[in-house]
Amino acid sequence: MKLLLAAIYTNYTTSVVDDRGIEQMDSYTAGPRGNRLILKFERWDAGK
Amino acid sequence: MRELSQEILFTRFLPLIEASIVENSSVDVVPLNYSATMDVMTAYIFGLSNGSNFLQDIDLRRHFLRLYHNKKTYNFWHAEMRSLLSLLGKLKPVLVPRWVDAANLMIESWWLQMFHAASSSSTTSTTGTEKLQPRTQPIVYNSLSQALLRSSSKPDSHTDHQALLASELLDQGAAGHETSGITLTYYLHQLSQHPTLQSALRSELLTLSPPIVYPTTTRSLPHPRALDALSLLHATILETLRLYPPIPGPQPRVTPSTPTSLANSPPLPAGVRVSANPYSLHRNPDVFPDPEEWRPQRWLETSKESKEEMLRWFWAFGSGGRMCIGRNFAIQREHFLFVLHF
Repeated sequence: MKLLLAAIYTNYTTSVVDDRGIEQMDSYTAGPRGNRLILKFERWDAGK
Repeated sequence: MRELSQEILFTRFLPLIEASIVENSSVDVVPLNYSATMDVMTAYIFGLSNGSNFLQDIDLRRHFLRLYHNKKTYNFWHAEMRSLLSLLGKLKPVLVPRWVDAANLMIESWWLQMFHAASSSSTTSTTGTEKLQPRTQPIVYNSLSQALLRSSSKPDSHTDHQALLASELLDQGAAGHETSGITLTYYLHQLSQHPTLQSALRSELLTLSPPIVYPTTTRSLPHPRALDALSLLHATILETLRLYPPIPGPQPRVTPSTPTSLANSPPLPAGVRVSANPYSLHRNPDVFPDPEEWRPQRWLETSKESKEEMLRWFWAFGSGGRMCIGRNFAIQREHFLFVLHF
């Protein structure tokens, strides 16, 4: 995970577009109830 | 391992993010994260050229993620009510629809395809025909296969050996992709709500030598130990695993015949089912004040003693002899201690 996350956050910013159903489901492996998370990625050097 | 990481990161994963920026579109990171973890896991187990490519093969990705996801509700019956299911016999579809068994067969058959590809890559050829070398070795396949051969309880036949190996690897694969995928999602969700933290994290990440900059001509990566030394990265991951343990529920055991006490309880009789849940342990307000708050600073702005106590209550990977075998791999993706007990 560290490698993937380091690669993302060195180069991009992320923001939430749609996080409905993000709560953990009640099951053995518990991912988001809605099984989705919509984010927007932007480059750091994009005029920020 | 390095080549595996480079391929998945620079050839598959990051280009997808770049594409979303170019198209000015948003991204559903849930399937993206599951694809990344599945591709890494299967490449590590079977070799890069034999593993999955869910990041780029969208149709296959959609097909299998749907299979895994839709049947989740029914896993309960197999896990907790196995005898009831066998009692029901032909009436089993009352509880578990027929398509669930079909879904499991499809997943197993896809898994066996990769398994056989790795198997052919691993066997030495004496006939002089061209031996297919997978890009990166099937590390886990080789390791587990050899361990099985060495073990005292080795299977009788080659077929049994292969079946046992495939089955064990499927377990590792299933375990490996979903949990890390879930954690990545919750991590991204939290960071997305904390832009100042993203800046702080980026400053820390830029101290890496080399930093993981993209696009890149060199595709160079920092040493895994350098990644491990980053305290904010570590704290944010720990806090995500604390608040959103991917396996939050009960880890049950049955009390033995000698009276046992648990957490200073009076001695418990034999045959009692007891369990602890990461969900609950991680919300002990005495150890984790404001437990429902995602606050990575709690791991940083703390005394040595209180940090040790927090780590004692941290149970996302379990503990003891059956603790998560892939925890270092999951957190790092580089250091993978593979200890086999047969």
